[in-house]
Amino acid sequence: MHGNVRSTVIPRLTTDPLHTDSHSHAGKDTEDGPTAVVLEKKPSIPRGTENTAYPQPPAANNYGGHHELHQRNQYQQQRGGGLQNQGQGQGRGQGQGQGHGQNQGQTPGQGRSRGKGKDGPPHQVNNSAKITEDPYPLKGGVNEVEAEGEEDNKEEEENAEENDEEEEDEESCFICAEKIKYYSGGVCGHKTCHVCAIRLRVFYKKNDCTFCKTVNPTLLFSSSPDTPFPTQATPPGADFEPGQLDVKQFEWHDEKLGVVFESQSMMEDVLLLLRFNCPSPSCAYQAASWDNLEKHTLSVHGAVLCHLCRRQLSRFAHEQVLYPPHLLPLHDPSRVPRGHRAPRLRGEKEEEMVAGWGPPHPMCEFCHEAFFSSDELFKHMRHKHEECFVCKEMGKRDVYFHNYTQLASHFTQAHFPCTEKSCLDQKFVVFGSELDWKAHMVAEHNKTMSSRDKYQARQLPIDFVSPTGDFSFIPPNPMPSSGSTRDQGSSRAPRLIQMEPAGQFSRQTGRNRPSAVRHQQLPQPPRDERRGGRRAGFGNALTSDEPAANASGNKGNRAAGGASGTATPRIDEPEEMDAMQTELLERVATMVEYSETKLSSFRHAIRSYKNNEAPARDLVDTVYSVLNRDSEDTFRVVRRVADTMRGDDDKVRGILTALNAFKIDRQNEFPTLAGTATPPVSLGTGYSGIASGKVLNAKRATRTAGSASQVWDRVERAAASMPVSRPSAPSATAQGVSKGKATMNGKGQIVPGAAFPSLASSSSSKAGASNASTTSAAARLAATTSVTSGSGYSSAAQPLIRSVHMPNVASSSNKPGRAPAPPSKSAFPSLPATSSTKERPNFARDEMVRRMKGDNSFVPPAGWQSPPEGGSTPVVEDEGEMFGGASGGGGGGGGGKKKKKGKEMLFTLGQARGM
Amino acid sequence: MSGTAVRRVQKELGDIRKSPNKHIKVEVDESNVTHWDVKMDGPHGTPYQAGTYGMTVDFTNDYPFKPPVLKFTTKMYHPNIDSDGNICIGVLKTENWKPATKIVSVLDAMYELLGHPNPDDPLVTSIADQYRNDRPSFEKTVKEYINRVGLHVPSTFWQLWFSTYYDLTPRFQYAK
Repeated sequence: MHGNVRSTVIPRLTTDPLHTDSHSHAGKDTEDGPTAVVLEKKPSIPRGTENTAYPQPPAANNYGGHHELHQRNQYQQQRGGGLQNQGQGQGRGQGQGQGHGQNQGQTPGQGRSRGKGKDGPPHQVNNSAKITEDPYPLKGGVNEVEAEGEEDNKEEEENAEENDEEEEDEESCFICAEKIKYYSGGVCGHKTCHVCAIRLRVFYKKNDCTFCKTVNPTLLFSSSPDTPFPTQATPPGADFEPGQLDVKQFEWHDEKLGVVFESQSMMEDVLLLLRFNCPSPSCAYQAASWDNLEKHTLSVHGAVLCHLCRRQLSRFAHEQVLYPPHLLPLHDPSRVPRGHRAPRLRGEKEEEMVAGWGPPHPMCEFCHEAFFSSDELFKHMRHKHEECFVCKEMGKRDVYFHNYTQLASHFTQAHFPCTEKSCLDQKFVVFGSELDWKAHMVAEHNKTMSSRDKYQARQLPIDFVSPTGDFSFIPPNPMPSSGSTRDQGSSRAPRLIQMEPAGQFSRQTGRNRPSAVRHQQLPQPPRDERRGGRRAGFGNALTSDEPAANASGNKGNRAAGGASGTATPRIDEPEEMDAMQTELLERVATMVEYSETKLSSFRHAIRSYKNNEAPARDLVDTVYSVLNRDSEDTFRVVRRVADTMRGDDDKVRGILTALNAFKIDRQNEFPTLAGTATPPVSLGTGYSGIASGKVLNAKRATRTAGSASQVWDRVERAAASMPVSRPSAPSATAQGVSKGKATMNGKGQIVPGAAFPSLASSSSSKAGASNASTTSAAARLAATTSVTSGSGYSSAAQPLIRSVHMPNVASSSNKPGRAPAPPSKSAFPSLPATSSTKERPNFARDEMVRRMKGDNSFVPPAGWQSPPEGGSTPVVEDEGEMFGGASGGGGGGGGGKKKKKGKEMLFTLGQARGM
Repeated sequence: MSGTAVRRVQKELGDIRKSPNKHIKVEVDESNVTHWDVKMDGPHGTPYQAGTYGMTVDFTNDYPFKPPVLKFTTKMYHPNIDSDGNICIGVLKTENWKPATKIVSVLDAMYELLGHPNPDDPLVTSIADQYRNDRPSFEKTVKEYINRVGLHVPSTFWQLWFSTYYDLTPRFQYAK
């Protein structure tokens, strides 16, 4: 076959210009061209006869058959001159025949070459003993015309036949899907077109077969797909890998490429690809170098090449794109000087042209340097610039900074770097969340920290979003929950909070969530508990004022990203709202004249009681205040509430007990209680009251009371303006606090009261018990931090902790007559039981409770605790009674309860709440 | 896009249309054949079976010589697929890529990878660890993902049957 090809190609080469394009394709060569040409030469040979006579003859390609030595000799001879032409011809004939017979066996008539090709590497099979002499086809180039005559003709004819069939399957290159002009094959026998082969070799440096990954150190380019690989030319020497040919034995070869050609024309064709051809389709200019070529394109075609593309070397020179110089910046953005605008396109023509270019090269904005592809850019960024690993961990990829200085400033702005010198020197000691940062501080720099710092470091920020709905707070959008677990943690809190209104009594709020929403929470508790464990690991303190402690003022974003505080697990029991509850709610609604605010606080009170988050006492007080301090109504409603809780005896009992106490409270309201006070003992009790109660009373007495309605308004206002903060108590020991500012008691406990400024105002009036309980812990702390919340709070919302403040608010509503409150009962003995005051406190407390709901573990102030377990406490049964009495007695009783309850509460914390 | 790439892509496309795979559906915008949208069913008998997964295939300019870029558009819970949909699969790695690799076989490999994650070459190590050490919880999470993404549309009796025995109802969603 080669012979034929050679013979056909050579004339063409002469006629055809050097352009590969102008050449007919391989297929044509074999089909048309060759047939045409060959026919002229061959007609003498009857094909059929040849085939029959020589079933194998055309297989001239079978290089496989020979003994290497033989071959060598032959080659040498061939090279030496044409002397052995005849011998060659014979040898070829034999070799082919044998090879053919072996491989194909069955269909001699049809393209044997094909058969071979498909069978796999024919040469290998053929090797060894059978054929002794086969000249290398390429060599034959010289001889072909003279010697090969008949056989060649046969081959050609066969090839023609084969080609007809193969046109469909093999004609196009598998890789580039173009017609194959020259087949390229290695030892493995897989064929591609020569362009792809060269491309792979030169540009991608891949010498292995693209189909089977066999390493092909040498390729054979042939014009027919069935040309076997000339194994005979493989020298046995150690230097040669399997599949490697001694290229020099072949007349036409390229050592650098490791390619052997069948003919000179083929070689020229192929090597032409690698020249600096002008990309212009109509230009045959061949340059000596890139620069040379560019000069040419610029002068002749008025276009330039992109240096990036050209350097990348994944395309032949003639495949490069020619860019008009003024539009090059659109392809290579680095050509646009900094601060300049990219060139504008004028006219559709230009637009079309640019659209055809594809995307421009990516550029490094720091260096103003473009790169061929994003891979290169990525490499550059990795090497030359700094990536923020914290952002990366948090899911934000590809955040780069010019250098470490900038990265460092990013760290301080967006993350939590360790500011200790040792860590600064070390660099990259940065944390994504405050929690991690504190953990690091405690773990690594424990020794250098003052006890105060340590203490502060153990405080956990809890940034809770205030519940939505009822108070018309708009919760900040919860963090998107993707990203790191940390993020999820922080985003969980708001979610939890949002859930609350969906509770049993939440019918009316516009923000009610479908019950399905409640289900969403179910999976959460375990996670939270996990966090709880972690928190417990390094201190249970929660504080809101720690930002100051952090000293890094730039942590503003902490709330969003870093806040690790989480609500403690809370189990919402999706309970059906039964009719009774609905009815109750409706009834209350009418009572309060459908005031959203009041209703919601009512609902929350019930909810929190149900969930063990607030004592029954709280509930009662809330109801009392909601119902405009109407004791009778309160009594009735609370009874009904108790009814709805049937089935949970403890709860019911708790309510009734609280109701009883409430009644007593009412009764004692006016009588002076001075003497009755019993010192509060336990945690939540009116400890603070001890200290300040009397004084407060005195103070309060001196203040003028505002009208009840005013107070109520104020409370409402405060509630409405309440910040997003939501206190939570992570565990029994650690209690969450306020809007980012929590107060801690001495033991690192957080006093929730502080978190709820509104409480202060409102609760002040409320039985001292409640205040006392909530504040007690805080009171213990000599230093209580008062948190000034927003301006909105100013009047109504004051840190509970400051029991001192309470009188202010309370005073307004207080009636002097009541003044003497039982010191024992409340921190604010002076708190009059006046309905007005009560209202407020209840409301505020309610709010507080609501905020705390996120927490399972929140320990309600002991004073408020209704005794869920407290079966021992007497249950007051009478409903309708008016409570007008002095508060002292009630207070005392409350105090006693408080202790108990407080303690008990601690135990009940773990319980799942259910109503 | 170079002519070579387009030609090759079209050839691949023709191959796919000639012998379509019922589990893998390819949608191509004829005006831009170098971007494919692929919908792949979860392999049967695997935790992924209840879902249909979206994927994009983008062919680069150097396509046959450089691997195409496959990405899942569906959020996947899989050791070899990260949250952005990037896929870690041998055939698509530059060093392993062969210009002769058919895209069909790549897609088949993807299908295979879905059913048989390769935890030894993970893209998400945490999932790989879970896959190795706690298969049940892995499968559970996978199913949750399927539900969350809303892919589970029981269309056949058996799917319905399956869902009655295996709870596939959404448990939680991220709050908006």
